[in-house]
Amino acid sequence: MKTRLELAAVTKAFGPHCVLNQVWLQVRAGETVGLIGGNGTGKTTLLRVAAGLVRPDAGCVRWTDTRPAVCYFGGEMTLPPDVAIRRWASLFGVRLEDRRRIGQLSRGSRQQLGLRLAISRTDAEILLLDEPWEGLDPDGSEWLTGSVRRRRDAGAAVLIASHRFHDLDSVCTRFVMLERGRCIPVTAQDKRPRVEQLVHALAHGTRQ
Amino acid sequence: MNVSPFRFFTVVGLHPLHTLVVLAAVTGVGVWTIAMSPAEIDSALGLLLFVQMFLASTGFLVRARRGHFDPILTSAYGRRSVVVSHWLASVAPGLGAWTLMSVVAWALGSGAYGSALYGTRLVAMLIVSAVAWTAGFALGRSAAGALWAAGLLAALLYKTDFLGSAPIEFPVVSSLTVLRHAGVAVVCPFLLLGTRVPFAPGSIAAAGCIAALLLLAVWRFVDAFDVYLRDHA
Repeated sequence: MKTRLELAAVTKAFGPHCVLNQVWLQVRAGETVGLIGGNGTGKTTLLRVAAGLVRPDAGCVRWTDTRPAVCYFGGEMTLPPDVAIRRWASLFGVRLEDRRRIGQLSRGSRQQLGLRLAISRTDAEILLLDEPWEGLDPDGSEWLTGSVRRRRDAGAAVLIASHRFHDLDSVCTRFVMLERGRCIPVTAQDKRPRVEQLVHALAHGTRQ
Repeated sequence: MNVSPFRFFTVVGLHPLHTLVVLAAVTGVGVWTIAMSPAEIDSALGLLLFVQMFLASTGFLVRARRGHFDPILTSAYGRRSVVVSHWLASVAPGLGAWTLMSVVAWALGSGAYGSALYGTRLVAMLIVSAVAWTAGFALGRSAAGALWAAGLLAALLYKTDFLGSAPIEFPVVSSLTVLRHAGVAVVCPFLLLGTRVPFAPGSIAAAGCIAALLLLAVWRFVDAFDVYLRDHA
């Protein structure tokens, strides 16, 4: 399958703290990659580098041919609270008649709104989602899982950072873990369920 | 995302409602002032210039690092066209009010006192629009305007003689004087209002160039800024 997104030896430091150290990662069309890692390991930074929002200090981000449409959603706190829902939705070509402001919604509703609008961009060949299941109720989680699967089956390359291993397991084709600034594949080492292996990898590192 | 960056910023809203209310009030008072006494056009424009100091300093980076501009920054539009649109959307309300006031003044026959659509008055408006936006690029909303106003107030309190006693009546002045006067025009563009402005020849054009260079510098280096999320690793 065609590689849609490639991070080649990406390095990023904030002051003396090297968040990403020579990260190599490929995401192909029709593939969903789960990105796991402890708090502060650089998952958000990696996604923002992939989205072109943060410039790597070294290495580069490559897309197929020219830059494709990228759909990035960084969580409900990235939505502007003072904007009317109706007007914000119109930017994505979605018609909603809700006249409330985004800030008047509950956290979960904001998350669901942001995800619905981001995923509505059917032109996007690359989906980058940061903790997408956070704050969603079971119905919302189910909807998100189904939507991601549909986009993946339609040929989109999906990269998701999350700690929700059960949800990740239901949509991801493979996993990588950020550990000490490096991106390491999480491979099956025994016959335990994959979720248990992810928990084990996060707790003990991939070298255990 | 198929919308243009300019439309994105008009929807997101760069100006809080209260500043637009103040702008409407100042425009109304200005039009009324000009209607009552066309000779007072510079008082009306001066007030509008003061409001534009706050309106134009909308702040780009702070909101971008909250993620509010993520959809447009990850769209196919380049970051440079995004910041140009941000500048246009930031200064548009003030420029609109300025144009309205100038047209009203012209219609009411204040032509004898000069127009605000060209000459030094327009340069003053463009300087404020460029400098306030540039200075506030990495600051919060209206912060650059507040700092600028505080600085001017302090200069006023200490009776700073901005222009000094340069022999500007002479046809030839040193380039240092021209540069100093250009700097003064950038720092205090209010001095450019009026029919006879006390600046050395060439200094107003130089001031306009300085303001344009500030905008150009942001445009040139905007790709170097990281739009990381605040409080996120």
